[in-house]
Amino acid sequence: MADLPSRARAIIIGGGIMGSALVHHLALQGWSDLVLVDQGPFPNTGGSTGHSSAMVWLPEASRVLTAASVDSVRQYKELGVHTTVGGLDLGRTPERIADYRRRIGFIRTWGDFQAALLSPAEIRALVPYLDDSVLLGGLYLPSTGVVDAIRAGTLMREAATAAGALQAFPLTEVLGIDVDQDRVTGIRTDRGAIRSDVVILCGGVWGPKLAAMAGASVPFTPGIQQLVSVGPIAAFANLPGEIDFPIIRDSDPRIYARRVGGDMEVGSAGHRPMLWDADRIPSLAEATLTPTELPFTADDFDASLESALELFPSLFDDERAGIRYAINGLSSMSADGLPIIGEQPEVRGLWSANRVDIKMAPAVARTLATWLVRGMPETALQPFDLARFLPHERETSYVKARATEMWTRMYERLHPARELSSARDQRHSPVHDRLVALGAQLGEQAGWEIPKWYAANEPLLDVYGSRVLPRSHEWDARWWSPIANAEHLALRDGAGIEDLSSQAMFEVTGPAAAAWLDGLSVSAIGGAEGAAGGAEGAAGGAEGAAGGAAAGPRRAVRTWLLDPAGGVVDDVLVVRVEAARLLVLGSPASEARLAQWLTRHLPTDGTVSLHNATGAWAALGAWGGHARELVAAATGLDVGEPAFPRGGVWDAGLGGAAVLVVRTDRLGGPGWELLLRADDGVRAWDALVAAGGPLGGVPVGSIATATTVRLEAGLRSRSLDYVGGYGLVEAGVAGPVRESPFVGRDALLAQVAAGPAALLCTLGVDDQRGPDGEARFMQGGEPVTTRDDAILVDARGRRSFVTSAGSAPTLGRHLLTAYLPVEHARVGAPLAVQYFGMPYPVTVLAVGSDPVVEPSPRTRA
Amino acid sequence: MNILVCVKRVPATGGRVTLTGDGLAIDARFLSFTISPHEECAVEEAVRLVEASGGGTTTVLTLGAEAAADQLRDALAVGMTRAIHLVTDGEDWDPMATAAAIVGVVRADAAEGFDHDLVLFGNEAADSGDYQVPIRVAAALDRPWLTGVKGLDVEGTSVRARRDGTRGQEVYHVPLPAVLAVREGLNRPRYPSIPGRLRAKKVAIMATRPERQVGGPTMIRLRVPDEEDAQVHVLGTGAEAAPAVVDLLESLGLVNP
Ligand SMILES: Cc1cc2nc3c(=O)[nH]c(=O)nc-3n(C[C@H](O)[C@H](O)[C@H](O)COP(=O)(O)OP(=O)(O)OC[C@H]3O[C@@H](n4cnc5c(N)ncnc54)[C@H](O)[C@@H]3O)c2cc1C
Repeated sequence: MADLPSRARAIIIGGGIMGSALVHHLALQGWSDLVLVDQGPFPNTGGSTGHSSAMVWLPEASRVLTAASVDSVRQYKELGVHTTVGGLDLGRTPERIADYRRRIGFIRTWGDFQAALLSPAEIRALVPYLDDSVLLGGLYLPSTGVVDAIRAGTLMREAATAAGALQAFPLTEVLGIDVDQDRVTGIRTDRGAIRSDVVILCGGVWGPKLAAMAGASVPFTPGIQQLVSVGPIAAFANLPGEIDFPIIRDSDPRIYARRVGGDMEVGSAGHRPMLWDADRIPSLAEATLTPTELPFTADDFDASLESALELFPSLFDDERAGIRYAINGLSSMSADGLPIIGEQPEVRGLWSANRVDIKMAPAVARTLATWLVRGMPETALQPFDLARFLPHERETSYVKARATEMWTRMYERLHPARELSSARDQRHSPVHDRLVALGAQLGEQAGWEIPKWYAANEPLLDVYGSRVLPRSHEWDARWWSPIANAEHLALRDGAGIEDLSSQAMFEVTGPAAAAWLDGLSVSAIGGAEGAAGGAEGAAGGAEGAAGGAAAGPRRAVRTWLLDPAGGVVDDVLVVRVEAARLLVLGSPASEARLAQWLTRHLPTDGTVSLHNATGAWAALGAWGGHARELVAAATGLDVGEPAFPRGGVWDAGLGGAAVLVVRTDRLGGPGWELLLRADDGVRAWDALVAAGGPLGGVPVGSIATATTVRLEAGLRSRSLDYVGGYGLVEAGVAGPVRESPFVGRDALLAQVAAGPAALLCTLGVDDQRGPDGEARFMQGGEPVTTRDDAILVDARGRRSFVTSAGSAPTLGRHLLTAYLPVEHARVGAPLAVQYFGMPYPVTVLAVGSDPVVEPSPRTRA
Repeated sequence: MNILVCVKRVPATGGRVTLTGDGLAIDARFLSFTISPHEECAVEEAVRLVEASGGGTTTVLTLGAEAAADQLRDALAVGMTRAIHLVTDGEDWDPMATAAAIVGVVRADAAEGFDHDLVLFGNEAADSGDYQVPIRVAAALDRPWLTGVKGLDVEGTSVRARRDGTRGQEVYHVPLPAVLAVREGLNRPRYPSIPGRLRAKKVAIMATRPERQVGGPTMIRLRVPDEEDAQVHVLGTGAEAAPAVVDLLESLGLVNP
């Protein structure tokens, strides 16, 4: 075998589908002098790629995954290794069938896919071997296929080699990764050392072990998925070809089955969760089969066998059809079920691509190569970015607990508001005990336990009666309570008190701090001199929040951070506390992303220092009709206009604690956030609640503040609305672009110049009654159509879907937001939304960020 | 006809064998467990013979740790009908003790009117390879025995058995009841079917803890011989590799120039 080179432009460890696809794309994008090593032989290295079922379901379970699979399938087809066979999701219960109707709706907005609900008779015609007596129907996805992943990997490595860009070395085991300071310098193998300042780990289930060699970590765990192959199947004896009927997936017993030549392969997720340690994977020499085909534990599979027999009695009730192959297959499991890719935070130049299934490897490889070559990730990859994990989410115990729960819930009907129950109570607000005492119904975000609503507010139900828009359908009412809408109304009539201590908070200090943030921000923050003035808040005006009204160095600005391509990294509130001390506040879910973004952009000359202060502060919000009176009563400040304009920042005392009072108007009308030391939180909370009593102030949960009040006010949600390639212009929040430079400015100017193809609009549901007269409440993700059920597609090919959904108790109706093609984006336009397969009439109530409920006259600033 | 088949749970070793720290056992953390290929043939033969004879029982017996029940279920899944588990604490039993325990089962079954016409063994266990247990069992029961059996037909109250001998194939007439040790190649064992596996799950295994007879040989430790490092040479890829392959085959004398 050829000798290893002593140096390389980049070293790729692992020749499974991920590493092989990556070298191909790096070569395509112009990198050469690449070296790929694998401990195993080619083409089947002994990794997970070798024993995978290699199915690619199209469409996939979500918008993001579907996009990755579409790209991958395109590439596999170009390589000639993809066979379209179709996929059939069986339905045994009415709930499952209803869910397929719901999914068909989603699918219509993800692209031009075929998806059809079949009757048992239609299923029988397609798959004669199925016993349809247990079935009510099925979802047929004809674009689903199977790939030859080993062949694909071989072709991709060969292409890179033929281009003169790659040397690939099988049977070369990496024993160590060298790091100098915090930079990777090369690898050591059993056949010699190679130096390089870029090392990319594509080691599949060995990922944690490889990362550890460099003192780094990747938060996922190997886990077992069982697979058997049964044959010879008598019915297949004389059939030509390899595969001739769709892959069958049965979500209730959690099994899938597909024909492979004369055999049926049955895979299962029906067994107990079986996690494995990366350190316990046998070597090639030790393994009975390959390192990732662990000994089959038959007991675990028995229930799946029974289900398989029940489904295919004509194939399996045959003593001659034997279980010829049975493995406990190893693959990777992450806490959220998604890939984990990017540069390791601990070691510069060390990259990894983990938990990437065959169905997405080529797409991930393409985007990761772009990131490596151009130095910039695509926003589309954000859900896969390894920077998304917070410290607690990197802990082994957390990863194992969540991976276990994700496994057991793998085929569950995915509710948009679902909460996970494992590894909870990771982070508590300083006033957590107070919230619990009020009967907070807690939901998790970034490890924080955040109240959705408070049982203590139940008496408000009597006050508001049917105005709370009660929901009778179990699905619509899941993780929801009418109390949330009562809190909303109480906030409007009196005041709402919110614990905001879980929000992400960063302290930025140093002589260049303001100027640096200014260069990252769409709205002006002001330079080091503290220059402030009328031009501030360029894009902020329309948002109606803290844009530009307050002058002087101490002020709060609501703004966006963009990536160079104009994608929204986050929307944040920047509070300038002193000339050289600023706070950046984001939503709890933004913490990891903000930390990574700010750190990546930090100047290296020491003029700015960044400190993640999340959790070090308590934060309380005072919102609603009597917010002004509430803050005045609690702090003794003069909070009237013009003394305390939007964006104003003042010092005050509250319950004996020193607080920074910031007028953020975050929910539309005048509203204040009170920031203080965490250990003063309880005193301040008690004081604020006490002051609220006479004013009708009540504690309010996140459904009211983050969904319903926000929707009425025409405000955006970072996680729900800035998606799918829509930018600030189309979200209806971009104002005139300021002159001074900031990251993403060119792209934003281009967006402004191009004009919107779609605009985010607020729609009201005109009639919520479903087929049986029961009122239904859309949850988000549903397709928006014409009244004639034609899907709306904008000039850039994007399909309209509901980005946010929630009640508007003030209006007494259900609200939705959606990006609508500009020709439909006009107030009064009659449209429809499809929910569980049924159309509901809707009307456009507002275009762009106009509120649908004006803050009441009393609250108008 | 009633047949008893004795099987032993052993690790299915891969290429390289690793020992536990005390050197007394194979490190089986990554290994699956199985029975030897000889024993798989014994199981298959028993199932076929009883099927062919039109009635009777096939009993599978193992002496081993709790986990050895898996091997009994595997045998039940391919058609055995009855299972006996002589449960041990997992330590290695010498051939004398093992044989004594098995003899105890045969006698106990007989006392309940359950006579085993044939007791089948694999020729040797895959791990210890003592070649002793079948002979000791036969001697203790005072039955004829034959080892190395690769062909077997029942003819009334006797069997006709074949084995490979140094002088060519040997054919024997063995009166029943008898003890036979069979070799891989006797038949092609079947894979378990799905109904077979599900049936096996429901069979009640008869488990007892036998008294261990003392006095047999004791193993002190295992040693793995030094292995020669395998060398891999990639001769090329695709059609271009063909000449090199031909050269190699010639140099090995496998094809003529
Ligand atoms: C039963 C089963 C069914 C599946 N079905 C599907 C499916 O239908 N569709 C789908 O998309 N996915 C499926 N998967 C998942 C899929 O197989 C994996 O996600 C995918 O193959 C991972 O590819 P990879 O390249 O990351 O890892 P691998 O293929 O495991 O490659 C990693 C490579 O790194 C090498 N390596 C590790 N450590 C070292 C070292 N120290 N030195 C040198 N080399 C090293 C290994 O030898 C290996 O070749 C299935 C998995 C299982 C277990």
